[in-house]
Amino acid sequence: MNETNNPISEINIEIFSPQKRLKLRHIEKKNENEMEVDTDQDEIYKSRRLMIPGQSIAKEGEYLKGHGTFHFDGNLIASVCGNIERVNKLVSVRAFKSRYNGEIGDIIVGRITEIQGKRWKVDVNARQDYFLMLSAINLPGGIQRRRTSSDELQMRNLFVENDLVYAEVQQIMGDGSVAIHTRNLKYGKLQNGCFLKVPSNLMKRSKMHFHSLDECGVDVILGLNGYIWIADTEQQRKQQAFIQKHERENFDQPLVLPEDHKEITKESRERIARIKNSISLLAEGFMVIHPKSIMQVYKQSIKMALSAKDLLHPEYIRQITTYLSTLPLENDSNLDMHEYPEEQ
Amino acid sequence: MQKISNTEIYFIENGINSNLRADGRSRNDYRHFSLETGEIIHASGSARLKISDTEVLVGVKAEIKEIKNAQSNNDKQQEDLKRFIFTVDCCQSASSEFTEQKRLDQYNIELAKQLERLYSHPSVVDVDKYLTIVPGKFYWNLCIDAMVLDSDGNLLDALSIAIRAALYNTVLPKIKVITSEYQEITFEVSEDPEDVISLKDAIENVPIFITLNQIGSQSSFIIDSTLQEELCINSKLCIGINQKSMICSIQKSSGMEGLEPQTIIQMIKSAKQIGVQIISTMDKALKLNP
Repeated sequence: MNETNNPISEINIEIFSPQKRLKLRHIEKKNENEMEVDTDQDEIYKSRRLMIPGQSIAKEGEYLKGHGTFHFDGNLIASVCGNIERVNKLVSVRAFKSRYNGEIGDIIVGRITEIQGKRWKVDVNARQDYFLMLSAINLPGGIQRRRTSSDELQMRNLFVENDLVYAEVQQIMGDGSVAIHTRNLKYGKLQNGCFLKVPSNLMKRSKMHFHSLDECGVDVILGLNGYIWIADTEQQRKQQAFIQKHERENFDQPLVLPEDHKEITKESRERIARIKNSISLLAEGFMVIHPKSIMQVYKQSIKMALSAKDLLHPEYIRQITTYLSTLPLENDSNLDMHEYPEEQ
Repeated sequence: MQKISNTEIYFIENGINSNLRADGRSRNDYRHFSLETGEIIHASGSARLKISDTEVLVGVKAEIKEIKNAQSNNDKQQEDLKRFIFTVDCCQSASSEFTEQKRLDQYNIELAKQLERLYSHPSVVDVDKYLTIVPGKFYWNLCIDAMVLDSDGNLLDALSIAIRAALYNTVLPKIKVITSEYQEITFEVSEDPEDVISLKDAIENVPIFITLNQIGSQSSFIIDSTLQEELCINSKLCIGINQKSMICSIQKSSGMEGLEPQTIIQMIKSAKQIGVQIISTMDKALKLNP
């Protein structure tokens, strides 16, 4: 329990998990290939790719100052910890941990923070709250019509403050604000499950963000903004059926979910907890989070005969992250954000 | 403010009722924690504690306190009791709960006062043996400064455990008292870093807090709550427990629901078990790594 002070050399181990070292090597390999084609003058690209705040990148004037850098004392200095990116003369440093930056079509999970006239403000771990227009949601019962002022007064029947919503980025406005929408039957309010927050940089862009993990009967929604929703498949299915029935028959009344539709058995709770801890383990090891890696941790934990809470223990976290980093090449290709085959 | 929706509260409450929390722990499970002592070299004693994302750093600074004769006997006794001065400083970045300066200040004071109430009794550390320089005149005062670097719930317990470890780590320089002809007292502080008084043996009676949070049904309560669980709390009982599993203080946080007497008795029982367990494992670990 009592740990002696870490010598400075050990700090590296903290920053680079074995997995990430693999990733770095991966990128390095790629860049070496690039270098052959474009044997430029840039020293910075050959020697240092990973920057820490305060580290000098180049002399002032050699490059243009991009995001995450600043001029100081005749040098170009990194202001964040991350990888160098360069487009011609423009050098920027992309931080490992940063706020979420939305792009059109991104699937996200957000939390309502405020209700304003005709729109909800939604916290999505970005620099500012995104907004969800009243006209950008499906009305209960799926009726298509203009939103009237009476709809405006009933907005709290749809979403109230602190509700979680599953949505998609619709539009990025000129002033930097972002509109999201829930105009799809699968989008909407998230109920009866548990919420988890991870760094958004760990999320992978893929075709699907809603995954029913059949092996354990758990639904996960991996929002690109790093907000994750975990629930029980069976309970969610029951709940969905009830809501649809309710909307067909009497959508004017507010929805009250009966108790037996909210029930989750202790076994599925245990599985939800295991999935949740698997995801936080991946976040702890700073590894990419997608269904495959989650299931790898999940299966490994069962193989090691660990209970769900054991996954929080640093010793087991170390063992499993080491195990993951030794997995064959397939795992390495998973790290490549664009080549990973989508799960259907 | 950290936020939580009603259905999430329902999920957490039901999990606690069935004795399985969102992270797979049972009600009486403590998270793994790591403790480091002696991190701040220019403090008399220090400790850093990490429980999951909760991270606190405690430094102890010893000062010489002179007690003036002018005070009445009663006042003097009051003064004698105060050998510890607490300050708690939560970093604004620690939690979204702390972003409001006014709330943050209140919270800092609340934590410091709670700690002070627990530790300010003279029997906590043997004042005569360890903290007296000249009886009735000069004493050691220990300024205990705690910083909350990051928060994932259960701050008070974390602070009290870190304070106990910091006291274990505390060393006071030996002081030679010289009385001159005119009854003036001067000190000669020993400069030898080995020649010190360690408070190692003095922490025997130093208690720690066990916070029991009642969530969901009346009779279900949990220890070591996470930030999300703390948003669902109905009521909260902070119990100070020492090595001999004696109760040193009970504080019920105000502004929440009440508690059944039976629940309180159960809470005390489990606080006793858990408190002794934590203290004994902690002492064992501290003795192994002086």
